[in-house]
Amino acid sequence: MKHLLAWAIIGATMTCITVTAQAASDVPDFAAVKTVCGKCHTTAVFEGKPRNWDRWNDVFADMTQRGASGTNEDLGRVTRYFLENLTLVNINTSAAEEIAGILGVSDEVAEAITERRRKQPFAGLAELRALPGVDSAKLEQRRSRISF
Amino acid sequence: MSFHTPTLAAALALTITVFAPFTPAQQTTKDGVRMENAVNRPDRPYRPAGSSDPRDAGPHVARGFGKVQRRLVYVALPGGSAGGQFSSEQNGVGIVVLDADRNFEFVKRIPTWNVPASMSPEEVSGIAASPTTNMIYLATRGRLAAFDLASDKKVWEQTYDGTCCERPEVTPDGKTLVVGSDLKDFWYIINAQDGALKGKIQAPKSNFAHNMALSADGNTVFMAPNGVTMTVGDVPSMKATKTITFSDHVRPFVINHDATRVYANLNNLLGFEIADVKTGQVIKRVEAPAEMWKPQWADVKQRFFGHGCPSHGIALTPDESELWVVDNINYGVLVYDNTGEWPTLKMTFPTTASADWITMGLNGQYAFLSSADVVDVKTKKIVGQMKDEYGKPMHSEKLLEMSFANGKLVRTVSQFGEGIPSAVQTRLSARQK
Repeated sequence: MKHLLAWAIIGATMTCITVTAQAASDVPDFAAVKTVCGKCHTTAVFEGKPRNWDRWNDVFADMTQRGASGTNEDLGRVTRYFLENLTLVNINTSAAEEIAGILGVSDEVAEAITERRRKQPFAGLAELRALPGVDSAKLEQRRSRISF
Repeated sequence: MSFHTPTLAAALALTITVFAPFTPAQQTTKDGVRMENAVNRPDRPYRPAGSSDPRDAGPHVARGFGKVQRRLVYVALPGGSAGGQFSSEQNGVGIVVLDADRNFEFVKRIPTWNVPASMSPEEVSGIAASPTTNMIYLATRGRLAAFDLASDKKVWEQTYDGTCCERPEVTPDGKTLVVGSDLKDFWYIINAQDGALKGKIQAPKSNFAHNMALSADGNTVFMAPNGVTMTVGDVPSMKATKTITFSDHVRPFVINHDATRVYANLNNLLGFEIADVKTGQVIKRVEAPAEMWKPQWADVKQRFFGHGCPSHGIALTPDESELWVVDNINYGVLVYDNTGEWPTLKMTFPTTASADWITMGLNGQYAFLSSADVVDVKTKKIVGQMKDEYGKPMHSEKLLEMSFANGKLVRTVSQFGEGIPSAVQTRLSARQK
C-alpha cells in the first residue's frame, strides 16, 4: 500500500511539472529577453506596448547601437518573444515571416495565408480561423494585435 | 483487490491518469507519428506532419539585431583655430567622437598623447583613416601616429627624421600613407600598416609643404606649399612629375574625381583659381563679387580674417555639382553651381563662426565646418554643432565622418572635400536620362 501511495505522489508531481512546463512554454524566451534587454532596463518599458515589426526592428537596431548583445540563441528567443507577444500584424499586408511568428504557424501556413490574401483579402478572424494549420487558441489569445 | 479508503482509491486513479499517455496504445501524435520520433519539448512543441518548425533551421534573429552600423564623426584636437576667434586648445587633446545618427551627441574621447599641463599641445596637422587597416592616422608637427579603430589603442607612432609631419592621405588599398613633411620640401611615403618609411617625393619648387590632395586611385599626389607653386607627384614611383603655378600663395585646395582639375583658395582672394592638371596651367579665376569683400580686405584696421586670407576652406560636394568656398570676411560659405562650364555663385549662407575648413561627409549628406557647424548639404541649413563633452564647440579642421559595421570601419571620407568618382558618375548618368 505504501508503494501505491508513493507512486501516486510521483505521478501527481509529474503531472504538475508537465502542466506547468506546457503552460509556460515561452519562459525560456522571456528569460532570454531579461538577459539581453534587462542589462540596462526593466522589461516594463516595453511590456504591454505592442508595435509593428518594422518598429520593433528599429528598436532592436537602436538597442544594438547602445550595446545590447547576446548569443544567437538568445537573440532568436528575444525575436520569438517579441513576435509572439508584442507585435502587431496586419494579415492582409504584413510579410509572411511576421505572420508566421505572430500567429505561431509554420512558414507553409503563413505562405498559404499570403497566397490566399492575394486572391481575396481576409475580412476577419473567422476566415483566418478556417484555414488549415491555424491555431484557434493562439488566434484568440492574440486577436487584439491582429488586424485586417 | 479492494480499497480500504477513498483516498487511496483517488491516488490510484490519479496515477492511472498520469501514466495513461505512456501506455503503448497512445504513444503517437494525433497524426500518427510515434512519440519517440516527434520532438515535443515545452520550448519546441510538436508540429503536425508536413509543417516545418523554423527553429529546426537555427534561431531566427530579427534583422534589427544585425544593424550594428555606427556613423560617427572623429574630431582631432587641437585641430587648428577658427580664424583666431577661439583658442585651438580650448577643447583639450585627443579625438572626440560624435554620433552622426544621434544629433552629433558626444560618444567618447580617445586619448592620443599625454601633454604636460605646462606645455601647449602640438596641433594636429592632418587626419586620415583606412577601412583596410581599420586605423585612423593623426599627423602633428612632430609625429605621425596610427590608432586601431577596434580598440582605440595606438598601434604605432613615428617621428622619422624629425621633420614630420603635415597633411596625410591614405591610398585606397590601405597600403600607403602620403604625408607632408613639416614645412619642408618633400612628402613622406609611409607603410600604412606599420609606419615604416618607404621613401620620399622631393618637391624642391614647393618648399614649406602644407596642404595636399591624393587622387581617388591613390596614384597622384598634389603637394601645395605655403607658396605659389604646387608640385604634382607620382606615388608608385615616388617622383615629382610637374608643377602648377598659381597667381598667389596657395591655401586650401581640392581636386576633382579624376584629378584633372585643381580648385585652389589663394591669398588675397575671396574665390578660387582653377588649374588644368594636364597642361599645368591656371585656366580660370573666380572672384566673389567685389562688394562682398574687397573694401573689408583693403581696410588695414579690420580684424584678422581666418588664417590671414579672405577664404580658407574649399570643398566639392562628392558628386561635384557644387563647390563650397569659405567666406572668412563675412563668416559664411559661398556655394557655386559647378554643373556648367565654370562654377557660378548661386547662394551664400552664414555660419556661427569663422569656418576655416570644409569636410564633406559620407554620401554628401552633411558638410562639417571648422566653425563647429554641421550643415545639411541639400538645404544649406545648420543642423548640428560639434561639441565636446563639456558642451564647448570644437573648432577643429581635422575631422572625418566614418561608417562602422560591427566595430569595423567600412567607409570614410577624406579630410579634403574631393570629388568622388562613383558620386559623379551617378549624377551624370541621371542627367543623361
